[in-house]
Amino acid sequence: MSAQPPGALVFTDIVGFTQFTEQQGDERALAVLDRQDAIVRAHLPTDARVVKELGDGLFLWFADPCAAVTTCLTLQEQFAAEAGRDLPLWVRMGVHWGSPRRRGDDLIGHDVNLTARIAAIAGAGELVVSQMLVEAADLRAVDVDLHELGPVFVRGVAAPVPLYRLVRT
Amino acid sequence: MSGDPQRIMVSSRSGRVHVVARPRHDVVVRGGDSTTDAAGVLTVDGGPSDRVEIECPEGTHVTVGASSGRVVLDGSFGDVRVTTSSGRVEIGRAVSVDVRSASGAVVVDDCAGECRVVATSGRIEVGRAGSLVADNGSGRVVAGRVGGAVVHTGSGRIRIGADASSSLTVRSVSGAVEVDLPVGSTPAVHVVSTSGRTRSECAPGTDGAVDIETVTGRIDVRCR
Repeated sequence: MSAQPPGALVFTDIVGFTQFTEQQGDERALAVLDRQDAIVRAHLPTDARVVKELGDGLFLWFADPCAAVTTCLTLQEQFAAEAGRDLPLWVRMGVHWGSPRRRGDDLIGHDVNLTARIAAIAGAGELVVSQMLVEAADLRAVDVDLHELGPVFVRGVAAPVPLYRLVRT
Repeated sequence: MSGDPQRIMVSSRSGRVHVVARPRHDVVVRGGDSTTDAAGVLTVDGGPSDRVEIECPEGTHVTVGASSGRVVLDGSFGDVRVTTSSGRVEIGRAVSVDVRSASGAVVVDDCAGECRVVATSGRIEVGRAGSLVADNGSGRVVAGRVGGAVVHTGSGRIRIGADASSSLTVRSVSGAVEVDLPVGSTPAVHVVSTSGRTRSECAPGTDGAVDIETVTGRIDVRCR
């Protein structure tokens, strides 16, 4: 394992995907994932990457915290524009700033686990970010509003984590 | 504490959190460790298992982070924020609400502004809200009367009562959707279900909008 420079970690998850797959079958579910994948890869900056796919979710890494925020907001807008009953791109997203360890192309560590928990706090179409991401990013350059969610207990972490819902102004 | 309105932040790993807003000027805290910062924010750390009881003035902004245990806010509050992994959440009256719960019912009586509830599972019940944003992975969503709504569910029945001229958007994979509007409402109605019956009893018009899409599950829009 080797150290990875600090970066923005992003987890995404499609709300209701399990039910959609059960109701509509694997082929239609695959079509949803293909479309999600195409949208994400079309908008990723060159210094960001898809670390891995996690069923209906994605694990992304960004070198720049502001780029992570602006890209995720753009992705949510793209998902919302295309979403419908045949393409339920109702995606929750969590973003955190941390220093994971690298294992091949994969990233592991506490910050990765925490990011996954943060994403689980978000609702469909929402972007929830950690205090560490807010501190790492100069959000004055980005037209966003932060809505404090307060101290949030997440599974597997002893101390509550300050989280925010982030929206474009 | 001084200034109006005041702000209280409570964190509790487990144990019940009960906050009561009354017509008073001071704050009384029973349980946990309390500190007040320079900005006048009262922070209460409930510890691993303390029960926390707080009495505060009406209009106080309250934020609660809980891991498990029931969270009850009685009375009339300002902005309310609650996150919990499990345990029922009950909120009386508030200016705005944001509740996030992994499991356990969320009940909000009256929210003047935006009422935002995100749940993984568990029932969501809202009496009245200026607007409702609800997201439930699996579980029922019931709203008595709202001025507008955006609702996403994976599964679970949805029943919404709304004011005339409301804008309602519902996206669901499975589960019946019922919308009740006042008599004489004439909204623009768009209801589509891939494999469920759809019915709108409302005269078509442009006064408000009802936009519902489901994969399975019947849709009923009523104006009566």
